[in-house]
Amino acid sequence: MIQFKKVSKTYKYNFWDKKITALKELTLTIEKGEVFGFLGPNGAGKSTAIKLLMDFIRPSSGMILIDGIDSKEPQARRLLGYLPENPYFYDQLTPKDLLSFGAKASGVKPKDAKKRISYLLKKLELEHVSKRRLRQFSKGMLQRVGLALSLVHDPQVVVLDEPMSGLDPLGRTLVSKLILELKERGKTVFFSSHILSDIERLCDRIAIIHKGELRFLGYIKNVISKYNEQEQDISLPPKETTSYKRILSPVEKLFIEVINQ
Amino acid sequence: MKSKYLKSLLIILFISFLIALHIKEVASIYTKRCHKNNQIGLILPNSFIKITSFGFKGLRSDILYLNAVNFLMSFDQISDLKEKDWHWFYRLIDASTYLDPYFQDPLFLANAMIWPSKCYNTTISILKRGAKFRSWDWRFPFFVGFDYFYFLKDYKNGTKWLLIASKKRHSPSILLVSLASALTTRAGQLSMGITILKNQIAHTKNKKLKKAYKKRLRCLENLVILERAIAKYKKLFGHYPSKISQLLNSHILKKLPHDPFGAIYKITPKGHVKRIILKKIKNKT
Amino acid sequence: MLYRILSLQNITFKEGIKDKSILAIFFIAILTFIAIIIFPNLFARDIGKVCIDVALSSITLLGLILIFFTCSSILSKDVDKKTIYIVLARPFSRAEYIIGKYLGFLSLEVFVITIISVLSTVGVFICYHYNIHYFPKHFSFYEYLLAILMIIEMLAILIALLLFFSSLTTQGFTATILTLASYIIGSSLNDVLDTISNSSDSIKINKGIIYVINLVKYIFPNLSLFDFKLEVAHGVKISSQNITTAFLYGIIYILLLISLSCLLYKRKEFP
Ligand SMILES: Nc1ncnc2c1ncn2[C@@H]1O[C@H](COP(=O)(O)OP(=O)(O)OP(=O)(O)O)[C@@H](O)[C@H]1O
Ligand SMILES: [Mg+2]
Repeated sequence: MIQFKKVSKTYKYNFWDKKITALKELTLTIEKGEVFGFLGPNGAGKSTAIKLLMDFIRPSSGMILIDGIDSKEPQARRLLGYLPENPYFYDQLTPKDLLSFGAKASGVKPKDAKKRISYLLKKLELEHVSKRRLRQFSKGMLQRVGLALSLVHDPQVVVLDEPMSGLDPLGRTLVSKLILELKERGKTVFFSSHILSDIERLCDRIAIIHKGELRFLGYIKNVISKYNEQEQDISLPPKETTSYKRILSPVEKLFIEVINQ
Repeated sequence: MKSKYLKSLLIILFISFLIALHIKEVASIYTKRCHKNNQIGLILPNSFIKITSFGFKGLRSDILYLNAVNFLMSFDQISDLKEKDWHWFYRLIDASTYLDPYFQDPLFLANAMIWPSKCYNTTISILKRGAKFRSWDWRFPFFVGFDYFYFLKDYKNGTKWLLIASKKRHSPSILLVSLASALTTRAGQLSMGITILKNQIAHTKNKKLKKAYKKRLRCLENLVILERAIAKYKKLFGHYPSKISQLLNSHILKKLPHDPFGAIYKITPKGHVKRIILKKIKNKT
Repeated sequence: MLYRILSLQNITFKEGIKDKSILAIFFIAILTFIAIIIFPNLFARDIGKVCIDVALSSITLLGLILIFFTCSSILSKDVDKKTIYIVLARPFSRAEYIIGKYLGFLSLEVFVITIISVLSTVGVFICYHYNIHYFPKHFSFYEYLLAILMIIEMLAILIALLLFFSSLTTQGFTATILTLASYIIGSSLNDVLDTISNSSDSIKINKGIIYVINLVKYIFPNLSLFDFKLEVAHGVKISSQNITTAFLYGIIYILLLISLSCLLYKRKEFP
């Protein structure tokens, strides 16, 4: 569904500023219907990859295909729903205004749009604030509005940049439920997150990038089984470390291992 | 990142430079008004004011005119204005009419102030600007013509401009043409001056200005009374009186008119009395 | 495509109309309404002229405030705070974004100017009613409306300039400053040229300067072409040739700017 083909990106502001290489020849394929987790430490290049996918920025080399369409074509974004890293919307609009814009712009019929909007508002528990201006919203509320906006046209592929950030525990379970629901309906979900327990619970497959390079790519099933086995092999370490190591989940172990390579 | 700030900083500097120049010019009007003794001539050139009006010329012109009126009002009496004050005043009027050459108010004010200010040429050139732009209006070429006759004794130019005025639409053309000849005489000039002043008073709302105009009107009316009396005297005795008091003694006048500016009336022995009386009074004002 | 553009126009309009600066603008509009009735009475004869001066100038000024505060803050937010993401995440091409945004600002401008114009026209009517004899003989409300339309066209050029500069710069603020600068240059351009051609006999001006100014004349929009305030205020007949020239010039300039910004936005990145 989504193909990154040797995508590199270097940021350059000015003549005299240093170039920053944010992404180095990323090659990645995300299959239709899978939930794909995108991991990496801060500044690894996750958001960069997602922005490239959305055509906000252009790759220095390589190309990205979405369902076989070049990401540079506006057509490609018909299939996508996107949640930005730091959702910030027009201050003066109400969630309703914003969502109906999203629906209209993606070509949803007005009748369906109305249903869909009220459904999403209900689902994301925004009904009571649906007529308030967005400037009065808290970070978590904005995050919910952003989620609703990304889903308003019922897209085939949902791209979420840190969907859990700023959400309360209830919100997080809500989002988890949403993602699983999308998966059940055969949609593709591509999201980045720092919350590994969620990744472990939701994803079919994960990729870990570090300093712009792809360090790991594999099925979560395999990761879990591999590290659970390993733990049985490891002889008991000293006391302090054991108590620490015990709470590490398999994905966390993998993450630390990959980063320290 | 830094270069962006630098760039905007430069642009801001440029704009604030423009604004600063602008403010200086506006502020100088006020400082002038407060300190009448300041040196005159700090108003920026007309073209600069025009360029810095940024599409609000009409409004700027209105405000300059108001400044001119306020400047006049800041003196207790019109006669208090010194030569440099008049200079300043005409500078404001000039700028106002340069920005909006159609604007009547400053033109009328300039024309009214030609009596006390004696800035004949400045006034005439300002009025000519009005005449040029208000091409449908007969009054401004008429004023120009009148001023040439009355003040500069330039009969050639005076006739020329009166003829121009008479050709405009809605102008009382017959009146204007005969006026050209009338204005070569002393009596004609006086009665014309009175007519213009009366018109001025009728159209002025400002009380202080109105008062000043009325004073001037009384002065002119006195002259007319005296000159009529002198003419009568000539008829009776065959020669001009040498003293004003002779008019009283011969019972032509019951009472001597009192000059509003406190001038003393005198008659020259040669019969060209009128001009000398006028000059005396004008020196006073 | 049209549907998408209109939806963007719609939210831009909504965002603008609910902005606080609109309230300020309407507040000032009410003040000028009062000024239109009171201020002219300070004058002796040309009351009608002053009244129309104030009315048209305030319409222009409020239009400028709308552009430099409301529109430019919305545009800056788009670029600086990345609200543009919610648009570009949809199947918008960059050209559609520009056109939608332009139409949004334009409709906002037209809407606000219409309301202010109605208000100030009522003011002019009241003033006219009490001072009929002090209004120019050939004053016509038709030409007054024509002048307002020309003001709107001038503002439309400024909006196009704002979008154009935002495509050149990475900061919304810089675009605003550049637009302001070109307004200043554009509105005084004619007078500068006049001054130079008038003074060329008496004072010698460097040929290089004349050359530069002639160059500037073609690059910057000649906004004084759209200024018919004096003519209307004095009831001078506006020549239809001037109107048509200004109108066509404006349309061509806007089209040029919009298509240039479309091209530039195609290559623009929003990191
Ligand atoms: N606008 C930009 N200009 C220059 N460099 C940038 C820009 N945005 C990101 N970078 C650089 O690109 C690299 C990757 O940044 P990116 O935002 O993709 O990280 P991330 O993986 O999303 O991190 P986080 O987990 O903190 O969101 C970083 O080194 C960052 O410094
Ligand atoms: Mg990120």
